[in-house]
Amino acid sequence: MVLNLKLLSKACRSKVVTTQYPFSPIEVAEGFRGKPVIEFDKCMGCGACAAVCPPEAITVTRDKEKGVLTWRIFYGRCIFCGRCHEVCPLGAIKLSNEFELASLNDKDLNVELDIALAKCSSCGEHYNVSAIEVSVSTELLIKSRELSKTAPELTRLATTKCEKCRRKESVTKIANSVIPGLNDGGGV
Amino acid sequence: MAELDKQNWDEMKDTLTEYLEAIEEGYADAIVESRIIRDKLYIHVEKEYLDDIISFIYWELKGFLSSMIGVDERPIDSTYKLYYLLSMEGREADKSVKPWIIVTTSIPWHDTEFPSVTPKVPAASWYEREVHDLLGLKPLEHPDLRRLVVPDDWPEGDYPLRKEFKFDERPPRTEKNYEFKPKVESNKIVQMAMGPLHPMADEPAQFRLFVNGEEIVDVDYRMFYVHRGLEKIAEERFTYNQTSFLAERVCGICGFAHSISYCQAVEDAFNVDVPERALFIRTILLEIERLHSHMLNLGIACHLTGFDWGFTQIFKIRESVMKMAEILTGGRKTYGMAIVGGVRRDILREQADKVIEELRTLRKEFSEIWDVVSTTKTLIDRTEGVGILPAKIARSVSVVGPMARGSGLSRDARKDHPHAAYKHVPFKVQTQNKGDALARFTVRSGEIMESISIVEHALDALQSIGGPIVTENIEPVEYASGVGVDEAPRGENPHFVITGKDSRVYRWRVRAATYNNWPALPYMSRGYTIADFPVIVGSLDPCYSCTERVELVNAETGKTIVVSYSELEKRSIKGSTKPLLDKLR
Amino acid sequence: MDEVGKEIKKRVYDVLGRSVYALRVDTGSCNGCEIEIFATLAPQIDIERFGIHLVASPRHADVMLVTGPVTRQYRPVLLNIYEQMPDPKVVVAVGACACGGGIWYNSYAVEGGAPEVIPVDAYIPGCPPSPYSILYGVLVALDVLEQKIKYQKGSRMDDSRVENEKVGKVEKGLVTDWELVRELENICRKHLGYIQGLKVFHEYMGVLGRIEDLDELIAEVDDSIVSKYSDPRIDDVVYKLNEVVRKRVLRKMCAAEI
Repeated sequence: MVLNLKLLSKACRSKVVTTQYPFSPIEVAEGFRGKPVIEFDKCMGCGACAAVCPPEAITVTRDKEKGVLTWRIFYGRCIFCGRCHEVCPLGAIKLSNEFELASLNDKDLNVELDIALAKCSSCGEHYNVSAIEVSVSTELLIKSRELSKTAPELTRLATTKCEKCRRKESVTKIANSVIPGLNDGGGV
Repeated sequence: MAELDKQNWDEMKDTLTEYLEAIEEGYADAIVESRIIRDKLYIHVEKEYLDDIISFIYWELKGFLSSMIGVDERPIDSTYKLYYLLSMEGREADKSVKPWIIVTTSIPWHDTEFPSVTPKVPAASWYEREVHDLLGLKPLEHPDLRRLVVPDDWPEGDYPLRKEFKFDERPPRTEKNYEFKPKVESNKIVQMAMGPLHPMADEPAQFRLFVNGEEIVDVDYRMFYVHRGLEKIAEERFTYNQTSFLAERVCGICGFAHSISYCQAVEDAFNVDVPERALFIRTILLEIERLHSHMLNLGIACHLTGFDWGFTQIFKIRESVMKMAEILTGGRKTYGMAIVGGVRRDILREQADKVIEELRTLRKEFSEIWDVVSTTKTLIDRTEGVGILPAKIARSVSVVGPMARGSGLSRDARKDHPHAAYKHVPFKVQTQNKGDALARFTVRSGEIMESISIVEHALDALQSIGGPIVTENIEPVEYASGVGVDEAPRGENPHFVITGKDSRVYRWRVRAATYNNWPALPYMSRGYTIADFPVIVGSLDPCYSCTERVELVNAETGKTIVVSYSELEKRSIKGSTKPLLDKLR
Repeated sequence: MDEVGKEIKKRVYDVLGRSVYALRVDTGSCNGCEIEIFATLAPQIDIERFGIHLVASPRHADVMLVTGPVTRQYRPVLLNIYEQMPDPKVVVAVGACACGGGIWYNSYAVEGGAPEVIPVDAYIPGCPPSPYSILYGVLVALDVLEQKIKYQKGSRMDDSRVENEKVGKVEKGLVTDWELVRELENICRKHLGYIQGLKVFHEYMGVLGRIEDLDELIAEVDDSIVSKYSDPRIDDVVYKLNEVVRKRVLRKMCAAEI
């Protein structure tokens, strides 16, 4: 066997590079895409994250009977793309640095959050948006239009109705304007 | 490709008009209509003349068959359409930017047969088989119409890419029916039918090597265990920007190249200008992907030829490339950076400095290691003169990437169809002439050094480029077609997109680079020994885990044994397959 | 190496008294996970120092590392390999595709992940999981390390809105107009991406919150942001923000005067 001097010289100069992991922690780069972590207190259940999640690992389901919106993430199917982080309007979900996500059962790979569904101020039924989202959107609407002091109340009244009641209202208004006196005492 | 300037469009228009005239001279009756849009000439021909025209463009006008796409356009005009995508060499040999010719034909819904192009142009073989599997269109007189893509137990008559098929339908299983065929005529070879197979029997081999003693007489294979139906789910479940994440997971090595190619196809369809900064960032990341892919391949090459020192050293420095990717994108392999109109993250000074530091070390380390590896007798003996692919066959099968460049064909999508920022960074296309495994490995090592320079140059240039990293306010256009192509580590990667409604694609065709290279395998293997087979496959640089089991068939007696591919690799490392062959006698 | 590290090391030697043989099974993945498993052999991670070796045949294996969403074509092959492995065996699903079907979990050609076909003992999420994640996951599967992730359930049924009440309110400072704030955020995102862009945006809003007068803007920005990063790219973006703020505040002042 021919002695390869270049090989030997390179081999002698190589250092030990094995890291101490898992005995000591390992650092990841800034901006590393690890486990998505949701801050319960910030989430309003709008579902933007669920709409953009490519593998549908984040799901939002609504139970109108019980009045509960359930946000759920299944880390098993998450592809760590960061789209949820990118679109969340409130910065409630962010990708962290965690990469030690192994689990011995699939239940532990789930995080769930229950949020109350909004109740219609007209008919009292639950409808498809969370109560928090309604209030946040209303405040933003009011703020952005810089309405006078009395108008905010009207805005709040308008946004807290379910789609059925709002539709009924619009139709009634149109009908009243076309056929005056049709619905005396009706309207808003 | 919106970044080419007006002068180039005019030059291309002249070239394409010349091509059109040449075709009209011979086939005026066949052409229904033609139009030139930017760098593409669209010709719509009558079905009957398809094989003559494609053959003319391929051989006389020197085009390469980049892809062929079948589309179910019955909701639009009651026909199926075939799009043959040909990349032209250009009228003069040194014209650097190469235009496209797209030949389309309509296939009526009630008469789904068409003349096969394969007898005249072998490169079309797999594309036509795929169209037959997924759309039910039959190429007449195709030499080998076995199943290619759909699973063995898929029922006849269910065609996934037809619009009435829902993406999550699960048709019931049928008996398996796949036959391996020997191509060598001999009265000693017994025609072996492989199915129906009981699931409990030995799993079907992915490769079948016909051997005479140690020598390989022929190779047959069953690929596409990896068919996941992603083209179909992109049509139904994904929006434009989500599909780029889907594209990234087509392949574990050239994922980013796929996502960029897809974005380029959509940008081509919408005629979107991508900001300059984004183009440079895309270039940097494409080259970083090339680095880690080529290093993986060279590490495997060392391992297969029994030179594990090289394997460990190369994998050690490969980790620094993964670290660079993590610094720039947050992930080691899936970068998640490509969106239609730009990229998702910027590269700031802090990150650029870290990367330049790593590159400096990398260049030094790699040159030292390659210096040792390329002069090691064990490696040279096992790769020199092995698996020769003659340039003529490379041309007729339309191989791409280092496979083509190792046989002397100077085809590189970064020069032929400039994309991202490649027009603004200097680099040389690496070619070798011998066409053996060593030539291909040498091409890859040359490309590693070029890539390091490209990244350094691009990071430097990035410092003086301002502006956004993404274009806003893109106007979606319905039913527009676009082609995006880039040079993945394994070769040219064309993506074809027809945009649809509701923010999704109507049709998306992915053609991974290795797709064009696999058909060359039998030509490269005949006449070599079984121990050489893993080295030959390694120099082709395929997806490594596509290979599970290999069947060795004694070409004389027909006796068969099944071995695991890793077993074969082990024999390759030792340089002898004697214990295996004894079982085969 | 600290106390925790020493304890882990002892446990490794106790549990992994003999070698563990692992078999890689790729059921139709993109090969990303396969390559990351390969990378655990690289010197930096070196899974072999724990006695975990990769083998070629199911008959020799203790641990099966499954990757891929189990394509329809591959299902019988996977079942076959599972039967051939001798008991006791540990099945580890590596990567998003194996854990739950991945990005194509409901495609026609895919079964939907390893749990649909064979019983799975451990899950390693990731796309692909880094070699460190894989090493950690295999050690969890072999009962050497504790798993860290736990099921969590939160509730906002009592309709508490403490955090959310801050939304849309910019309390004090030079800019309190929500629409202008959104415009500034868009500029940051368009130029720096969503991670760095949001970071710079929050820092810029911090600066705006500290000043009342337009004249203080440039000096304060230079002090806190420009000198902190010393990156011409960030300077470029921040000066753009300054321009937008300046124009809007001046316009408002003119409007107020009129």
